[in-house]
Amino acid sequence: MIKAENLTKIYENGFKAVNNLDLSIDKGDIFGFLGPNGSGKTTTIRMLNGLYKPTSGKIFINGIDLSKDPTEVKKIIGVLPELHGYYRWMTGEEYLMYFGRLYKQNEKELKNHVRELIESVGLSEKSHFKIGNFSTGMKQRLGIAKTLINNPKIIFLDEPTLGLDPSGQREIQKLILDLNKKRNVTVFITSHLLKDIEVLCNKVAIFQNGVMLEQGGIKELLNKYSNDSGKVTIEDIFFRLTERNLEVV
Amino acid sequence: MINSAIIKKEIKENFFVMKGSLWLFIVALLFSVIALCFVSIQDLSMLAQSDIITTFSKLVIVIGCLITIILAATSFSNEKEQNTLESLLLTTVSKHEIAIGKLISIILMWLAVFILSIPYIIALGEGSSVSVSIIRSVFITGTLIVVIVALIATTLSIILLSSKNAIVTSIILFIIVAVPGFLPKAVIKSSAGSLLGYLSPLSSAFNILKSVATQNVNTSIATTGFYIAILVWVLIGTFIMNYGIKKIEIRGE
Repeated sequence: MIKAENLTKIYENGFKAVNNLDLSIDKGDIFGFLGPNGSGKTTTIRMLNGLYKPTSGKIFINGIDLSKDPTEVKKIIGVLPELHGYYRWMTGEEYLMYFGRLYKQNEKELKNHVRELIESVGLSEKSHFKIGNFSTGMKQRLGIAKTLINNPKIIFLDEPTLGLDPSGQREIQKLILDLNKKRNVTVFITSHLLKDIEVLCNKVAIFQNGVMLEQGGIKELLNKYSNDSGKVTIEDIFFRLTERNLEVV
Repeated sequence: MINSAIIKKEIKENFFVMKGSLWLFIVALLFSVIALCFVSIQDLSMLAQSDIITTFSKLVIVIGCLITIILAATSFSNEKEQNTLESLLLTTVSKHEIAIGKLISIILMWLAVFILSIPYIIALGEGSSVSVSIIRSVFITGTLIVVIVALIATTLSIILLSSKNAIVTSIILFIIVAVPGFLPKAVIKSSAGSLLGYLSPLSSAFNILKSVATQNVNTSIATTGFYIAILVWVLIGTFIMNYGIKKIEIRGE
C-alpha cells in the first residue's frame, strides 16, 4: 500500500532530515512511526503525501508513483497534519462540506456522507456549533472526519492525540481502530505515546535523526528484544534503540 | 481553473469574517460625507464639476485599492498563520485554483465598492453629460488597478511569513506607485512627470479619469496610451503572481 525506497530529504540549508529510508506498509496495517522530536517523522509524512519533494528516492502509494501522479495519490489519501488548523468561523458541518466540495463530490451524496462522518466521530450534537467553540478533543475528532471526507484508502495521522486528556486519547484510539476494522483503512500514525502505539498498531518503525533504527511487526519485535529478565514493551525497545543511537552519534 | 467552493468560502470570509460588510458600510458613509462636502462647503462647491467628479472617482479607486491590499495581503498568510494551508494543499485542488478563487473574491469586494459609488457619481455629475462615461471609466480602470494590486499583494502574502509583513510591504509599494498620481501640475507637465504618469498605473488611471471628465473623449490617443501602460502592469502582475503560485508550499527547515 505504501512503499518508499531509499528516501532522502536534504533541506536547502543542508540539513539532512531523512536518510535512505525504506518503508513497506501493507493494506489494512496500522503502522506506528516512532521517533523523538526532530527525528524527521513529519518530513517523512509530508514526503509520503506529496507536500515535500524527496531529494532522492521513490514513493509508491497503492502502486502509483507519487512523483508521476501526485493528484491521483491525493484522491486516495487522507491526512491529519500535526499542526492542523481550522476555520474557526465555520460550523463542524460547514467545514466538512467545504472539504468535500474541494474534492468535487456530488452535493446530495456529500450531505449524507458528512452526516455519516459526523456521527461516526461522535459530533452529531455539536455539528452546528462554530469550530471556535470546540474543545481540543472535538477539533481532533473533526480533523479525523475531514481526513475521511474523500473515502481514502490510507490515512496519515501525525500526532493525533497531541494535547488531549487521557479520555480524549482513548476516544481517538477507539476511533482509529474502528476506522481500520470497519472501513479497512490503512493507517500511518506517529505518536509519542508508546503504550498507545503498542495497543493500536500491528507494525512499527523506530526512527531517529533521519535514520531507521528498526521496523517490523509488533509481536516480532517484542520477541526479538525479549530477554531473560522478562517481558519487554515497545517503550523499552524504543529507549534501548534511541539511547544507544545517541551514544553512537 | 475555477473552483466555486473556494470562491464561495472566500466571499463568506471576506464579507463576514474579515468584516467586509462593515467596511462597505463605512465606505458608504465616507462617500456620503465627501459628497456632502463637495456640495455644502463653499470653497469646494466652487470647483469645476469635472474636478469634483475626477477627485471623487480617484477616491473610489484608492479606497478600492486599500481594501484590496488588506484582503489580498492576508489571503495566504492567514492560511499559514491558522495552519489551514497544509490541509488545503493536501486536497486535489491545484495551487492555481486556490489562488484564482481568492483573487476572484477579492475583486468582488472592489465591485461592491464600485456599485456603492455609482449613485454618488451620478449625483455629483448631475446636469453634465459625463456621468455615464466616468462610471464606465471608473469601472474599467478601477478593476484593472485592483487586479494589479491584488496580484502583487497576494504574491507578497504567499512569499512573506506573516500577514503584518505582507500588509505593510503592500502599502509601502502602493504609496510608492501612487505618488506620481498626486504630483503638482507643474511637475506632471514636465517630461519627467509625464514619464512617471505612464510608469505609475494609478497615475495612468487618474489621467484617464481626468481626460474623460474634462473632454468627454475616452478614445483619444493619450487615453489609449494610459490604458496600454495599465495593461502592461496587469501583465507584470500576472507574471509576479505566476511566480508566487509556484511558491505556495509548506516550509520545512
